[in-house]
Amino acid sequence: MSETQDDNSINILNKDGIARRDFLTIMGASMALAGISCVRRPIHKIIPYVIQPEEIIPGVANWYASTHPATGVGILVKTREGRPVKLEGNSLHPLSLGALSANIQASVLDLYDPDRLKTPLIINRKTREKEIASWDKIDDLVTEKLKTSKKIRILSQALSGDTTTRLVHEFLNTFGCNGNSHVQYHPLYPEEIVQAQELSYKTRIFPKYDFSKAELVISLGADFLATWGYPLEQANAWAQRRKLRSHNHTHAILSKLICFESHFSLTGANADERFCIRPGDELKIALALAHEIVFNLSQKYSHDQTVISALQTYKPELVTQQMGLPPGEIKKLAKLLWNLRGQSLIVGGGIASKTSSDVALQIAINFLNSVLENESVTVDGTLNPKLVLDHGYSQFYKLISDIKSGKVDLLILAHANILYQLPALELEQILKQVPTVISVTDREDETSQVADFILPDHHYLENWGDHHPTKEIYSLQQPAIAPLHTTRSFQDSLLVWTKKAGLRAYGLLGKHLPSWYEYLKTNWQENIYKTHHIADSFESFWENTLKDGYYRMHSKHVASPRVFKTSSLDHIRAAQPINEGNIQLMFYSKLAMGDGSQANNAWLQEMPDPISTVTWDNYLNISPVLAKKLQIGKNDVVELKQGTHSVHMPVIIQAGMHHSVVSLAVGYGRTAVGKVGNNIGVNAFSFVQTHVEVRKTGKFYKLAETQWHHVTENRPIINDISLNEFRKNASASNHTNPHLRIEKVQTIWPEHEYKGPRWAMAIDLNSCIGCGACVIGCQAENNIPVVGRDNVRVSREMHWIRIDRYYSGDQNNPDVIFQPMLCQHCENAPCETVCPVLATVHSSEGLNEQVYNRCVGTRYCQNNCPYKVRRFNFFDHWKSREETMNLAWNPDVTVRTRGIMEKCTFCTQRIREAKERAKDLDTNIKDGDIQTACQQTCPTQAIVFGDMNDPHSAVSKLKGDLRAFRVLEEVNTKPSISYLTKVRNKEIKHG
Amino acid sequence: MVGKFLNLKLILVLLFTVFILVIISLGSIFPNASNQGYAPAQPIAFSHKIHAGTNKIGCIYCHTGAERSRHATVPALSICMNCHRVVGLDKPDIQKLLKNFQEKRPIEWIRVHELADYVYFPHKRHVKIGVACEICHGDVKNMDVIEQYAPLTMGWCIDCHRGITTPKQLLSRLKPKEDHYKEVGPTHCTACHN
Amino acid sequence: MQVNTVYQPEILIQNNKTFSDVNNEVSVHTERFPTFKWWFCFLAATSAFLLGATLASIMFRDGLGVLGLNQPNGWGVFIVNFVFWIGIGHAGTLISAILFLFRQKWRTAINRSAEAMTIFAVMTALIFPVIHTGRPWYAIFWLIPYPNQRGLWVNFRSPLLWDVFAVGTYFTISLIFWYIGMIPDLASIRDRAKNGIRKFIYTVLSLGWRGSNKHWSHYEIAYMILAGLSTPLVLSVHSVVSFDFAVANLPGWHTTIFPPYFVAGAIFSGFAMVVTLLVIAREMFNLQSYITINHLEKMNKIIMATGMMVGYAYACEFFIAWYSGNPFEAYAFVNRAFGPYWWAYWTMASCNVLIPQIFWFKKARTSIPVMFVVALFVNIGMWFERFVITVTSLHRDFVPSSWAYYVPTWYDWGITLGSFGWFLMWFLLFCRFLPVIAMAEIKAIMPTETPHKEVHTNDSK
Repeated sequence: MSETQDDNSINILNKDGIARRDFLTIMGASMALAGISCVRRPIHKIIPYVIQPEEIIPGVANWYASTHPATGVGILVKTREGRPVKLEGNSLHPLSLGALSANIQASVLDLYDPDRLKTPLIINRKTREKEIASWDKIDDLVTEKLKTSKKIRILSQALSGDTTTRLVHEFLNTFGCNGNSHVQYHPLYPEEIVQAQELSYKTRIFPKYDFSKAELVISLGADFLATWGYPLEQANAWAQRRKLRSHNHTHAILSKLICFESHFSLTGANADERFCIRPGDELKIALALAHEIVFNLSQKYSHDQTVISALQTYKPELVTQQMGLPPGEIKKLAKLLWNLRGQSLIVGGGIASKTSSDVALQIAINFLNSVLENESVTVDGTLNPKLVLDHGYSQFYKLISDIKSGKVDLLILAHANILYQLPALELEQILKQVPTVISVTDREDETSQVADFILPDHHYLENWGDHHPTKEIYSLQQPAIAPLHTTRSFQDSLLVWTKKAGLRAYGLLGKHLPSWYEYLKTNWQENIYKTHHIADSFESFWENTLKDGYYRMHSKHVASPRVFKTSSLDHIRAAQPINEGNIQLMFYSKLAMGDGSQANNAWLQEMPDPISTVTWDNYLNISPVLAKKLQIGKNDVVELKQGTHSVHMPVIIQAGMHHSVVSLAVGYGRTAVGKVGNNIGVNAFSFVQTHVEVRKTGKFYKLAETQWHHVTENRPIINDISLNEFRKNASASNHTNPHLRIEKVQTIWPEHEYKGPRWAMAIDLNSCIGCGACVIGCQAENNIPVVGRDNVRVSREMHWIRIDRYYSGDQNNPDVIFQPMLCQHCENAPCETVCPVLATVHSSEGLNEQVYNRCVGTRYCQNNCPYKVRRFNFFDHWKSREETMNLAWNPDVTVRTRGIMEKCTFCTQRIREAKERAKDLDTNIKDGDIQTACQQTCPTQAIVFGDMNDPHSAVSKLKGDLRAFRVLEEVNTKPSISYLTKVRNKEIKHG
Repeated sequence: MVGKFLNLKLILVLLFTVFILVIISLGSIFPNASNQGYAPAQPIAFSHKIHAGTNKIGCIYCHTGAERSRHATVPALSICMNCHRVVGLDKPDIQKLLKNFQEKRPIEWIRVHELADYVYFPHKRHVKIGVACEICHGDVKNMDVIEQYAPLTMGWCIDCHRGITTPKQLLSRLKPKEDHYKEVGPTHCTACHN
Repeated sequence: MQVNTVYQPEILIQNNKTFSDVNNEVSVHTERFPTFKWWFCFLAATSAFLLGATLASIMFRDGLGVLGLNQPNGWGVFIVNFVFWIGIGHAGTLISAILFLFRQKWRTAINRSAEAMTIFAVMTALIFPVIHTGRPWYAIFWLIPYPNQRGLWVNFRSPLLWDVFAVGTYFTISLIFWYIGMIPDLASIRDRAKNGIRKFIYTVLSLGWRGSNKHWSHYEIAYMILAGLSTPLVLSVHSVVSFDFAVANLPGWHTTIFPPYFVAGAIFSGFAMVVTLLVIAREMFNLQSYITINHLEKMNKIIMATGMMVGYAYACEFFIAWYSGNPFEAYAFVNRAFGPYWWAYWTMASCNVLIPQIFWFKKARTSIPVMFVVALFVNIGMWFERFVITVTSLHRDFVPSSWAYYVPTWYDWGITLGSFGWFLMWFLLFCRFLPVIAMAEIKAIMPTETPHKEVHTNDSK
């Protein structure tokens, strides 16, 4: 990094007051108001560097490998002129395999969030007024306090990475506290899985569930494709078993996914068979399955007394009848599992099951996986399992009781927003008993109100770090930009404080290393470099790991199946019966919002929820049956009452919900996160997942939905067939009026001829799980603006790619199909003929080009597009980005002002970049060189882009597949995108 | 009274002047798109004539981006310092240069050649294909103050891409005689607008 | 009863008006200071226009988002207004051009005001394609095919371009035809004018007309040619306007019946507007003896005829939608009648087809209040017809996931009101400064002119 980074990119904005992008608006306005005087264009300055940094070439992107700390996923950071503009998955990294989820894609916007805390603050406890202080002053005061206070405790949310943990332990030892005074608390942490693993196999890990080896997957409430466990890796693996090729369609094999859940989750929507159960009943189903297998099928545990006594009472017929499942369902399922033993996988749990019986459920699942010999095949607990936080909730509640009894003198909160996550505990009063509270956060959030010092932390793209997500993978995190504001990383603060305190420092701290970077490097040299005795020098090992982003330790031994400790079954007490009468509340976490730490991210707030397509709000999901019973209609506001606590919130009538369950998304209702995220939705954490009362209030609130009609009206838009139909006839298609399936459609217009490449795309509806990563990836790549809730309410959202979610089949438990809908780049494009100013024309490479500076805004093209994929700038939406957010623009894509139509361009800037790279090397473009932003970030590789004229390209093969069809074929627009029919592994009743 | 005074000739003259005024105002509402001949005074009187002309410094030496990226880039102060750490220290302008360099403040040159935000013009492609700098920037070697030589408007670029005004040595190489439909450069819209 | 077999030439001008009466009664309004009634209407119209203008300028500053438009509904109230006002214009040209070629004598009383209404309607209509892009200074810049240094022309395949030519031609020809027809009357007003300014203006406007024999022969030839030119315009302009919809592939738009259907609708709403305006103008400028009940009755007959044509078109659309077997079309029309915009469809159907049926009864055809009310309903019905065509097909078309409602906002209604204000403002100015009735042509058909004097004695009973 250049040592005199003079931030010329920022001061261009403020010095002459007008950003370059205003030039167009000024020119437009000047044309209108020029009047008589002859106006020359405004004077602009061109400001070079003072010292030319050798690695920055203005106009050429630099890529750096780093890691997303919260998930441990390896990322590549694309930087232009010294600032990150886009994140993409690191294809080498096993947790990413090239893809990124929506919230990781959007985390680049958090770096430029103007509501980030810019300078450290000192809060006077009595008068609550804030004083902006310099870091030196803060350090003096803090070291002062550190030396005087005996018992120091650190509470963090997700501080991961060996070096950071080591630094924290050494810091605590230096100040006389032992290791376990560092406590981690995360509201959505799968604590029960770790505890169950410890009880069943004596190891505190989160096993690696390998879905790519599973022929049959049963999910008992685990949303493993969206939020449970490690969704990116799991979605990729699961989708590998869902890909079909029609050349061997007669005996095609397709994995089967069966879901038991009470809320309509993304995994449930992708399931072949889905059953509605009440939260907490998952345990009964697991035990009934176990009962059937142990008593009738497997001999292994048939004489083991503990097993028999535990499973005795859960007879399959009793449980099937209790759950209201089709008769003999559990027996059939157990038989299926037994036949596929060694190739099946059972997963369960999630936030909804965080009740008293959650550990019991996990133990039952471990038992089932062991009985079915899935150990070390689909469940890997030894070779490369996921590593976990070293201690869970019990430590946290012990810390709270210590604070209450006044045993804590100084508390450091590192990104732990406990006031928001645990409102019921009245932590505000409790934390007053701690003499000094230091809050290290990225913004002034809810918890930092009680702190005495609020210290701004770097964004992860500004900070060093390392992560150890799984046993074999050590992932490095390197900064891609010099810090934007006067922030300092948490690790640097600890180093400075130990140096200033002058006490005898432990371990590496003793060496008084100048910065956290040095500390990290030395730790890597000592721990990782030495222990794995790597051949080449440390320096080159360090550089190579930085280049690749991670280091993989190659373990010699093979995955060995672990022995299940049957004594752990004693923990399964008979679950207390849940009375049918009242309504049960359950939580779920949304794909985009997660635990609410990114609530101020406008892209994520405006990302439509995969199932309900609602943006900007959370809401109570109610089943149609329950809604009719309580006379609750669309857009109603209901009062959710639990004991004395009652809150008003909007409602979504969601098909597929259990008739006596209501669900509410966590991560909303934040009060101190920034202009964008404040007071959006309702804080679910203020409730408890037990029974609740729902009452209609008569008020109305219109939720900002992006899809208002949920059925295809039997039009030729989607095709979903069953596996047997596929085996009989690979190009079978249903859901369409036979009249409309005209094979060859005549046209009177001459065809475009393509001498060079002809760009096209194929989207496999069987692999698309509807996660929406492509929506946010496209938004980051193409400078797509955010329009806000009111504009989404009147259907003016700007996403170039939308995921249409169509229901079909049974009303209360519908089948779902996700269809990514984007510009189809038609051959006979209806938009090209009607645009009066030739703003949209057909290129010589099959692209339907949209020329922003030519468009005058008659919107005729939008009316004439049968797929309705064009978006119009009704306002100057680009002005919604203030101050530092203007650094997040992608400089290769024009920013559109109001009055301009825009649409998916198949990422022309990426096509052009690849063409220029090929021209430089005098080669031609190989298949796969060009990846559109959506294709690049898709976790299941559902989207394939390429040259249709090259018969060997992946896209040509897919388009030639018998399953390929085109949307609205008979309108004769000849779209360039082919969709592949969705094949469900079950019998479908058409009609 | 009024009727006699107004004969036909006077009416015609009046009408004609009104017509001319309208044309002028229309002309100024739609300013000439090109900025040809624009030669603003720069904060430092840098002369290309001395550097590129007499001292024969190659364009790429200072404008490093021309061969590597879409922006040719104005050189950083550190490139000026390669020579002016020792050369010509007596001249006031070079003292100003040194002062800026010491204080780490960049020089704010006035931009002469500027295309609209929605235009993508890659220097690298043109330099690699063999388009000489003089074709678009004029005879810079003899310019004391940089002046915009070419209109740099869309029509001007398109004519060159279509082979109408392309310099001879490029035309013969890029556009073979027999295939007169083949373009010298791409003319589909997203080549320059996306 | 004794059947009167002798041919009775129709009595067009009642109450034995003489040539001087015509001159006095028609040009008096251009000489006197306008009455309070005129000022009241004029101020109301101007304030409505100013309201529309301010709302439009706010829209230019903020963006089209202030309107009700959204993702599937790219077009809304503005395009409805555009088609509505162009439709209003067509009756004027029909009356002044086609009826002239058919030698319909009764047209002379109403052709000048109808032609004026055409020009003002087209001027109102031309506002909307300009402002509906939200950046008019940019739209005009690109929409006109002038040679430019970019070497780019406009897209001649786009119906919006055809509109620019069609409506442009229509406006220029109607203006010339109206102005040429008015020159003799302007000259007679010029001769009556006393003080300087008015005399000077009318002198310039009447281009030195002296009523000499050569002048009249040139006048007759020019008038005939322009009538000939205007006649095809009546049919072609609204067909081109209907191509904006017919060329698009939306279910409910892409039908071949649109051109004749729109032309019938245009004449239908045009005549309704003529009746509405003349019923008021007749009272305000007491021209009852020139624009007689007989004229109005003839127009009402035409209204009923074209009303039934439009009714036939609705039925035909439904039949073809069913007959074509194309599920998109079938759904589009069922949704049009029973979907979320059912109220607009049934208003249209009742106003356009049912209400004009009252004109079967002579008493209704000749009673001023009934015809005024029916004319208003017809225009409301025709506005809703364009609304139904535009909105119902846009808000639910091919892909159900992008179905969404269109709700016009106050800006939409405000600017629509502004357009009515703009139209009435011009019409009132016309009535104030220019002769409302073509005096020259009226004099040509007045009874005192015909030699057989005795024939007219028996009409005075």
